[in-house]
Amino acid sequence: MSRSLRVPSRAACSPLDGGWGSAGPGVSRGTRSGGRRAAGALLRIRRRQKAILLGLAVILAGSVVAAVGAGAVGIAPREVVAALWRGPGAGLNGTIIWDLRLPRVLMAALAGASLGAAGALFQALFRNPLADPYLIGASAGASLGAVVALVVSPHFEPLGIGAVPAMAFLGAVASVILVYRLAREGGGLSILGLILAGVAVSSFLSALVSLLTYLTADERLHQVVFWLMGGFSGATWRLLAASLPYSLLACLASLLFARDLNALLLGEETAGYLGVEVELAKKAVLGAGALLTAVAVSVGGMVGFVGLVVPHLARMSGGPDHRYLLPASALGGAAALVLADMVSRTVLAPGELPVGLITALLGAPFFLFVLRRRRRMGPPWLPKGG
Amino acid sequence: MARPEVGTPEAAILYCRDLEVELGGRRILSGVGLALGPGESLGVLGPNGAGKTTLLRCLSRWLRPSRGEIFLEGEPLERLSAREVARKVAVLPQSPIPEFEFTAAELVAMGRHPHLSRLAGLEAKDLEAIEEALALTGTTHLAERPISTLSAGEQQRVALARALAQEPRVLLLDEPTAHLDVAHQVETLELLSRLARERKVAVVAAVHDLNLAAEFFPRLLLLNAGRVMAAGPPEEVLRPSLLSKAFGAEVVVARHPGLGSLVVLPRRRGHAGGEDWRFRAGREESLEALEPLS
Repeated sequence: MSRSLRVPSRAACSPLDGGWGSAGPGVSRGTRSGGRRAAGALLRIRRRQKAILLGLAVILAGSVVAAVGAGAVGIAPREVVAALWRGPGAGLNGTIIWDLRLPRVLMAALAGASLGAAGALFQALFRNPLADPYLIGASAGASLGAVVALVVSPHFEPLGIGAVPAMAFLGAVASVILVYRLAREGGGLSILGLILAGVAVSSFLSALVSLLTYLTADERLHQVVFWLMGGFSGATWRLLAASLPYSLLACLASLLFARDLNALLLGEETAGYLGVEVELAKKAVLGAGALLTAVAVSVGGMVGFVGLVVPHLARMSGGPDHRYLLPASALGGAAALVLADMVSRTVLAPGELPVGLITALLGAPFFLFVLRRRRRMGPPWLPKGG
Repeated sequence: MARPEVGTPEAAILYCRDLEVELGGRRILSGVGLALGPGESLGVLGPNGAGKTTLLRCLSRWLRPSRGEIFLEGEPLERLSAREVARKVAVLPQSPIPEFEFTAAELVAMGRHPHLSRLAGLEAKDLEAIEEALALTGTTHLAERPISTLSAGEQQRVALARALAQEPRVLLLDEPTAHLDVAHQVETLELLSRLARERKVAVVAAVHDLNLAAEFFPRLLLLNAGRVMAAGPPEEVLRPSLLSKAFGAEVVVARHPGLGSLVVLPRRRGHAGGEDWRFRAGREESLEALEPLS
């Protein structure tokens, strides 16, 4: 009877000799067997992530060389590398590579990197693995801008970069700003409000796009439909130079908030307790993600699936830390879209398939395959054994 | 008989007075004050909806009170940034860790967030703080496990380790013993009292278990409907009349003869006798040995 009523006595929590390490039973267990276990674990995770990033960079470089070499005139990888090394202009191959293929390949890489990074940003912001860059209206706004430009005056070049990408960019930015204003309540930004406003604005703008295409039933319709399915046939050095700064800016900004994003995965309240300025972080991430999406859509049209799938694959192979996940998604997205664009212009040569079709046709089955495989084997970044 | 303040404002790490919170037209807290010096700990009691979580959210700067003042080491809380507060105050919220794939070591490493600049990596002293936090909570062996594979109790201890890795001067905890078995409840509360005693951390914890509160907290604060009903040492706060009024349940409060601590037992409604009881000193503890506490 006396045993069963035993409550921890005052003596048990009186000052214990030997400081932190030698106190209560569970406590000392941890200390003794511990050593530098956490440091080792953290180091191993970082090392693995760096190796994956390096591998992705190599894959991207290989994809660029392969894509530059592929086409009506096949060029061997060795010659591609040599021509890239020599610089623009030398010989027929040099002209083909530097004037025709390289801007297009780099454009696909830029769009892919932007979509991959934007996907990782939005999946973190919405804490939803189904979030993709198009969730908050950027694509619908870009489509409307592009369709207006195609229908009204496709040859007007306001900034020397063509009306279609310029109007698509403006449309994407304008629609995200609209969604943002609708989702603000008081001083804060509601994530659910953002999703709801995004869905509503997207369907409204899409309806406008349908209306416009319906009303202009002539040969321009084909152009509109083709643009909406995505493609990089309009790539030029000038367009690349005009869009690269926005992408770079957004990528750098999002890297500054990478650790804040990690904390935000714990929920906004806990992130706040860890010193994250939650509202600032949400706005920065939203702004960076929207800018990346606007760039991608304006140069490549609606390329689906890259922004959804690539961050998942990156997370499955290296874990959810955004200091790794953001660059990995960008590199992986770039490589994926460079290869998809290569397929799109070679598989039916001299004709061309919309690259958005390729990403969905190849991306969806591949993603399902990886998901099933992963379920059997467990996440690969888990340490094996002790 | 209710005293609105605990402790003294002098030398307080955490001090607040006259706190009032209104959310959606409903008054959640009113006239709450407290002061905590280094190494002092306070257990906050009260029924569900009494305002315990709201009080902790005010003290941690997550919620801005509609009236009243809060000072952290003499500085008004609303003038400090989230980062400045997080370097001194660590919070263990009640909300569970959401489903995600970080390992326990990575989660605990997030506790270093307020101490790191945007692009800096972990340095030796950060790693030391992480190792120590894991060791103190007995979770070192979980370091490489993904959070989503841990039990609720293990997650709770890892979350506490995350808070300890912040090396806080003030620890605010919302139900730190929820999901824990009896051994881990005692271990966790023992750890908190040691942190208070040896590291001079000020601890405020919302606690549901009245017996654990009586055993581990030298001072208690009883909240009811957003107001302070009683504050002071367990003997003053854990009075059957106060407790039955706050919780709406009849309880017996007795002093354990061997241990000297208070024991609170809930009673069936309508059972004969509503008096206070205590164990007769020097006798084996048994139900026959109970006698009223005057």
